[in-house]
Amino acid sequence: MSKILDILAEIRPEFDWAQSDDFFEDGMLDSFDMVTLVSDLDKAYGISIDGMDIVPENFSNVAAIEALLVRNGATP
Amino acid sequence: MESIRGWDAYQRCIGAVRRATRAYTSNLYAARDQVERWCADGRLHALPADGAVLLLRATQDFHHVYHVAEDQGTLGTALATLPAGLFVTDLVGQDDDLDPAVATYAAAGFAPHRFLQRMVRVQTPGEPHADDTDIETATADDAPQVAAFLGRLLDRFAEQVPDLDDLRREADAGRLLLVRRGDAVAGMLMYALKGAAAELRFWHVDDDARGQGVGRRLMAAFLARCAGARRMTLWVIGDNARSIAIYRHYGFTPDGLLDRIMIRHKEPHR
Repeated sequence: MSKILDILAEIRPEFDWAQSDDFFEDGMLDSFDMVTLVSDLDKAYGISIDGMDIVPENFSNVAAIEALLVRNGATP
Repeated sequence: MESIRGWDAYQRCIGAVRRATRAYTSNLYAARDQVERWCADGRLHALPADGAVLLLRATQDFHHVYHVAEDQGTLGTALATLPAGLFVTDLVGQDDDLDPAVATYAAAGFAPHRFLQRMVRVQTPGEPHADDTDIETATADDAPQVAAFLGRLLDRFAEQVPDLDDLRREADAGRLLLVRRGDAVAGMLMYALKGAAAELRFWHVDDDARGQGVGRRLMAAFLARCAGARRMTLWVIGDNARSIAIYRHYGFTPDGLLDRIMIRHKEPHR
């Protein structure tokens, strides 16, 4: 989990990511950030996240991101 | 060309393009509620191609073009299938990252139009801001007047001109602010607020009303009403030095994200 939080903090250091259950509802991530996050996760975990998975629901909180990584063959 | 009827169809359309390598490219950034509105209005169509799909969103007299493609090669092939007409695309990203897509669209007959840059203001939630309580909060009935005001000022290709539904929605939510001179609109500000993030969507003062504090009052009201936000963003025409200086005065700085707008106008063969 801490690796994911580190990546999120790199994108938006002004937010407390551990405190939110929905990054989009809380205004912490927008669609442009999601694209950056996908690229950073791809590089950090050596994967290529499937295009169908690049939807806000899969990046809404740390648990969702962990599940997404597992589906795409990574160990969070 | 096939009409996209809803979110599931939209997802199937995009998912049909493989994202196997870093060459995968897309300029689709619409939020789900926005996509669903476009589908409900019948304004979204897909032009599938081998290894790519183009999504076309109709406006009054042109189409916005969005792409999802395995690489620049399949994108170029897809763009070659566009029919005659007026097409506008937004390529959003960090400057150097946009070069490949810009080149592909240029090869397909698109010419650079303008560019926007995003500016950001990070603040401590609860920072005190003096509100301007005399600022008028628009109602839905004001939408046509505001639309006419903005229609005179905005570049319809570069700036996402709000339609009447959009203006009514923001007015109903209390996020459309006005300053009047008599019955006329002297200045307006429209914003979005979601959790910790605010977006300054439009802030315009009539030329005849400049230098009278109209813009300052609107900005003060915006900052006060979004005092709980940690992050504020806006998009500004990239070479508008005057506006950029004003936003810097209010604590906004560029964050490196650009929106390069390109246009293609192809006449039908006779």
